[in-house]
Amino acid sequence: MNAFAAGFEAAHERLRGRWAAGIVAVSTILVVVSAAILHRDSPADAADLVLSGVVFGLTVPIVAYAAVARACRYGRLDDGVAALTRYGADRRLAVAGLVAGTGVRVAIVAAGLGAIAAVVAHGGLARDSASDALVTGWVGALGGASYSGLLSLASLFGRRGGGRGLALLADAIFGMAASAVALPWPRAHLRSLLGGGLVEGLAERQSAALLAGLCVAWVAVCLIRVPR
Amino acid sequence: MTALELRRVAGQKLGALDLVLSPGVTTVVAGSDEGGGELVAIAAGLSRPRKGWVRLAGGDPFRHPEQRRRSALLLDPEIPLEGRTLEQSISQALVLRGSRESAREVLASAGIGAWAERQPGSLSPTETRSVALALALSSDGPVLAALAEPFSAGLDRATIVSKLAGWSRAGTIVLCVTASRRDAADLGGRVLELARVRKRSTITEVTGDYREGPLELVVRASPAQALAAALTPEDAVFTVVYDETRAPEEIIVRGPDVERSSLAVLRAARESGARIERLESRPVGSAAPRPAGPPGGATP
Repeated sequence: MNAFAAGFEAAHERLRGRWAAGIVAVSTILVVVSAAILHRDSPADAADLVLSGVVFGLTVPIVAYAAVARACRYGRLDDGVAALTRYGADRRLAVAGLVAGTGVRVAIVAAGLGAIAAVVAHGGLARDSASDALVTGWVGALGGASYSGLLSLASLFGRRGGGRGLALLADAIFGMAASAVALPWPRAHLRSLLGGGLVEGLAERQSAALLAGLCVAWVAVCLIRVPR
Repeated sequence: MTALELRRVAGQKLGALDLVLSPGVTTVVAGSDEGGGELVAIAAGLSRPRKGWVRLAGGDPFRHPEQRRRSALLLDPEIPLEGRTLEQSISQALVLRGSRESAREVLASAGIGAWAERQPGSLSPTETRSVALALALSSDGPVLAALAEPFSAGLDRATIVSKLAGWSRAGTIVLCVTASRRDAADLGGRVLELARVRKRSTITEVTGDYREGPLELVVRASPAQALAAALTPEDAVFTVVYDETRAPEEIIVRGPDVERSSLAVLRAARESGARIERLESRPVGSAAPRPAGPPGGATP
């Protein structure tokens, strides 16, 4: 087993069991109930409202924050792999594995939440809702992965990784804008991908590409900052 | 020659510490307030010092996984283990370290073979330290052994001492950190004392015998807590036991000999303003004290 695999396995160990089940259950209930209420009150724009508000505006960022914090053992990202590096694991590879393992899990949960919200908000599984669920699932996976990348990088700041809290706050504030200040934040691009306001005039495809690029860049900076 | 060098190292509790260790056993007497646990983590390359640098055999262990792989480590506090079973958890550590030993062999050699199927999450902090020490002691010819409070990990003292002595003879730098002077004496080798003066951590070599004598003093005093606090910096006192709930007016004092310890008690009583009601000696570890002396008098 190399350090990357050990880091990936550590993410799996930390993000499973009752804790993970509880997070998934609470977020799913929140999304389903919100989607059902919105569908009852205004069926025409229920999907847009629940996806841009409850799912990608609230639940996905919080789930990503909780997952990254737990994967880091509620401390700094580099301290989160101390259990591996003490035995000689390459810190950089172990962090890469931990970030990848966390990102994959958050992406899967976010994709699932997006798809479920789309189906419920459309009032059931029809042809329209199925294609919408596919699209929102894909957007959710991208959003979950990008939030994981951003929060993992932010976990390298602060004595106990307090940077991730600030990053979440900054995303909530600056990601609401449509100007250039919104460019580095996932919230702005996710809103654009869901048919909301464009970010600095970027088309949806450009927003998706930029968000994927940012995700890769955040992880790359993470690995550069962590010594072996 | 292999050496561990810390220069102007500062951390959360350490401040501008200079320390050079060569192969052999060195025990640093330091509590957690002085940064004993932090010293182990920094020396072994697990934590990065805020300032200063560390060199182990010429390289920075924080940046070189190969050096960490060749280090035996016991932290204080220890990192909780992960995995579904202890065997799985230890196997992963052994693979990362490049060791061919099996997890069951490691556990059996430390006398805790029965724990192999336990869940790591079910281990108490002391049991976690036992496992970490078992893993550390199973290292084959490490460059550095950095152990925080090795005797408090619940394993056999004689086994630990003999393993460390063997490593020392083979050229390993053995750095132990303990708050107990008695443990420091038992670990053998060079004994250093770590203290913090203003913002600097200072190291002083401890000379003389730090083994406790066969007798201990039982002191009844009022207030006993103040007396215990005043006794802590006394050189003639190695251990002060004060149990606020079970015996709020009694402290037990151990040192190299009862005469020196008694004088230290009287000095501390004068400084703290505590009134000694009884002071008597008894063999170390005997629970029943001898008949009380005259109240208010000191009978060393």
